Amino acid sequence: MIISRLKLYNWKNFQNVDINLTERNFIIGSNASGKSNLFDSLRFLRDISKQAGGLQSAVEIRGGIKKIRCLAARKRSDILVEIDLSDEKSDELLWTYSLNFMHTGGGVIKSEAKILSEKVYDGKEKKWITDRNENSKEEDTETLKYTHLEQVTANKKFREIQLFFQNLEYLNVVPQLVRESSSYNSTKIYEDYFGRNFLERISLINEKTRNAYFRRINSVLKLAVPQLEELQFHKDKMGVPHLEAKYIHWRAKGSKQSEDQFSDGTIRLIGFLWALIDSNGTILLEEPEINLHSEIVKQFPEFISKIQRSKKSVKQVLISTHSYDLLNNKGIGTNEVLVLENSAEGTNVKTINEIEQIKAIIDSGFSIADATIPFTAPKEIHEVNQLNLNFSEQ
Amino acid sequence: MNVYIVGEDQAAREIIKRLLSFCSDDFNILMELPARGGEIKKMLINYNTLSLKFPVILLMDLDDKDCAPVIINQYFKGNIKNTQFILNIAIDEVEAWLMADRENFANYYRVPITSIPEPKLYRTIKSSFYEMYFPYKSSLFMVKEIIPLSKIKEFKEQMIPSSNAKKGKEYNTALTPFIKNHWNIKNAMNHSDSLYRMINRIKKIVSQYQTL
Repeated sequence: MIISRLKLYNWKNFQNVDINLTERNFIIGSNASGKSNLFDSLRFLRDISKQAGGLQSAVEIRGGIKKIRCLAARKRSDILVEIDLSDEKSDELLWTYSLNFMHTGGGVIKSEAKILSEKVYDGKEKKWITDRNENSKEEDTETLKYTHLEQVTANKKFREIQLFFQNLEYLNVVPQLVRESSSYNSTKIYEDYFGRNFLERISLINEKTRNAYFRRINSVLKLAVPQLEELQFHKDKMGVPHLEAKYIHWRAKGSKQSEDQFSDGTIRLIGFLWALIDSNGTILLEEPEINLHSEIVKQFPEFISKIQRSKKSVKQVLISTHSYDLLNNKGIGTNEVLVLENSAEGTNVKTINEIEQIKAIIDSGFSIADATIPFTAPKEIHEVNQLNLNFSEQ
Repeated sequence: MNVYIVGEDQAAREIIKRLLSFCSDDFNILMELPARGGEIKKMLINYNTLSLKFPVILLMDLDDKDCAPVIINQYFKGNIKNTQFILNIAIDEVEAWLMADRENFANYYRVPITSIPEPKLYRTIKSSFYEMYFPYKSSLFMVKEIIPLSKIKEFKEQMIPSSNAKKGKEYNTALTPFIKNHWNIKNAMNHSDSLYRMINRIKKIVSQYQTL
């Protein structure tokens, strides 16, 4: 099952978008165009679905409705997140989940999210099986605080959707935070945005599975970072999890290094590989190219496809990227690329076929990278070197 | 009028933009290509195809070892160039076009005008024309023989290459304001026949569009 369609209304910088997704998707756009915000709409559904999650906490983690609502919104102040889940092979629509909510409270009354409507369409039964809205007799101000998606008794008929979002994987490992052992456990209550608990997540997996994962990671590391060998996992005396590897040098046996000595690129690569290997459904990869050598990055599109083909549980991958090397792969189809474009009415999301000047370049034999990188580049960026920054004034 | 522009570096692209606005107010640049430099000649055939959709204005320099017809034969593979494809392979580099406006160049960079070679008169059976002549690559000549004579320290720091670098550390930064604001194309055209022909090609595309 994959997310085949995502519809957002008033979500952060997306005022109104409706996009189709496939098994592998490349999300591109300039800085601050909203790539991470697009991912965040899916992580929002995950935060609602996860254990001890729920709508109110998902909104609260994001700083309240005011931080979620689109700044470009003119009239409506409500937010809509809607997804279609389909079978990745047959394209058959399995579920539609739609959540519409708004801000309530303020002043002395607690600020909260209020559900305006929550709808679930069962593709097999071909009918809406849940259709709640604020005017329903069964609903009151209290019930409208909680989605059926987050409640196991209420979501009995569509538990599959909750499980799907619980399994959504998001990984954007920030090496500095992985190394910083003092921050260990500090973000446990919230979703792990930047891999602070990455090592802890590794530690939670049973040993046999973990060893199997490490064997695979080691085989890739051997090629990408040849001077590192035998990556292992262990816990120190305090029970804090660590990574350890052998660093090969002129001494015959080399010497041991732990994650605080690993390079940024090594940690990012391990995180990236872990996410792919551990994934069980849809996975969101935020700029996987960061810190990595361009030759390694070039391999990503094929590597991801290979893993998707051989490991059936990696059903869907969404990758945000700025990388020419990554997008220069000729195997990337135009239906796999979504281009984020800023406008006064918020960010638009378009496919390549909808942007004539990009399509013309690709049709002429150029790669996706050749066509999209110049398009998403800031138009006046060269002017940065003509600025007078007046350092002499200080 | 929508066009793509293709130039190897920032200076080349700025020159195309200036030339376009010199020829018409109606140009709208769809994109500046390529995303990465260095591969222009290998992609000539693709740019030719692209120009079927929107005109492509391309400016590239020749390496010492190449000559224009050889490149075209090698990379066009027998295909015919579209009329909407303005392919300008400069015999000398585009820097020669900038220095062809000798007076303004000397004035802006504060170098003696005599340091910039005078245009040479060439005579063929059909015509005679002026063209800039440099003893070696015009961009190298500029940063090795001309800019070191500048009275402005900043230009020397920006444009003269250190050790084995090919260009100065802020070469494009130093060149861009001249291209944009000080380069007198009319004057340069009088001293450079290749620039004159380039302008004519762009004007031809403009007139084609106006008659459509």
